[in-house]
Amino acid sequence: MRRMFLFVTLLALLAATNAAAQATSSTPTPSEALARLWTEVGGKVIEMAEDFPEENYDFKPTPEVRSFAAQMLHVAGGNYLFMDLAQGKRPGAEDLSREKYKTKAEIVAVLKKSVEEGAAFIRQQGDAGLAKAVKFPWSQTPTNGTGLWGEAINHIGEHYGQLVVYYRVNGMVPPASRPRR
Amino acid sequence: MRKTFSLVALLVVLAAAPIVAAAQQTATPAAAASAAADLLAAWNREAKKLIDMAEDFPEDKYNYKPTPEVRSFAEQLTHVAEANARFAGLARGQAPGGPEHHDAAPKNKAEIVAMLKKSFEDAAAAIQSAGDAGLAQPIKLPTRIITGYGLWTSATINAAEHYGNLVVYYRLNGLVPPTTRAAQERQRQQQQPPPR
Repeated sequence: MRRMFLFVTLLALLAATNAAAQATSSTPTPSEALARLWTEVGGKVIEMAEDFPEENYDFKPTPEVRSFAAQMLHVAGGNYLFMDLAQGKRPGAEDLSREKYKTKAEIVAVLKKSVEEGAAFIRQQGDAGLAKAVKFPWSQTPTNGTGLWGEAINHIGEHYGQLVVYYRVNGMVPPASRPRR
Repeated sequence: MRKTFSLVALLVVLAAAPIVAAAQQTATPAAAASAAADLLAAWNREAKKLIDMAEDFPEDKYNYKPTPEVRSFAEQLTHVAEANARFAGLARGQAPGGPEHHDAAPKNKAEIVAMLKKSFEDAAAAIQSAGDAGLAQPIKLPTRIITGYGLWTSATINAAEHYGNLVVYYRLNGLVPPTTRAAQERQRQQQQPPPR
């Protein structure tokens, strides 16, 4: 009898601890956390696109690499490519055409749109979407939504990292490195 | 004595129950990898790209910097290694902003490569030992609460951003980054390359 009492007390105690842990943890759901990170990293590239002088948009550090504008159009194209893959669609071009997006305003607009649509997509698909199986055309290893969006965010991060150096070799300080006002 | 034993056994079983339940929950929806396995794969991909660069870049160019005010190639790598160690510390429950542990500053390319490798491997071990259940646990930072999953996603982004920096360091030195060389090789064999 005493042992039984002990058992019930223990169960109640553990149940209460679990409930308390859940109530106090204000951590977002995995898909919400991912959508926020996506927006944060995408936002840093958008900030650069808005900040960089339009007359330097065709700057490239060496002749064989993408210009500043081409980088932006590649990030936007990549964002749409990952959205295509997440839906099992045949992916579109990874580089949007500079001929089609002629001005800084047009490039900023399509980049913004790609980041916003990506965030909306991640939220709309939710945690169930992250668990959905996905296959990259360039890899034999199957992954899922979590793997896909992780890769998509890192892809933006890598190009952001390149653009930081584009800034510096233009004698400019990237927006994120300027003193906060 | 037997009563004590049954109490301890019960505690162990009950403590394990939520972990098992959580693991099953995250494992069932997809036949694909778990969140921890995904994270580890992404982490190891960025790790490999940076370590390949560290090993590949000529030692006599290790102090190259594109402009005077930014980190040299070598400083970029040691910065990533230190950041990795900090992320791993946070994941293991160390207080944020605590004193930074510094091994003796690496003196040459071999030591920098070793430091970088060790930092990635140590972090990978932390991700692996946390598993799906551990990664879902909250980590309290001064400004917000994140999960282990959020922490490692940010850590991977940090590595990716510095990798991006170094891609341009390569180009400015007239060199082609290892990943691009490999992609060009694949292209020659007429396979579809990943977006770069």
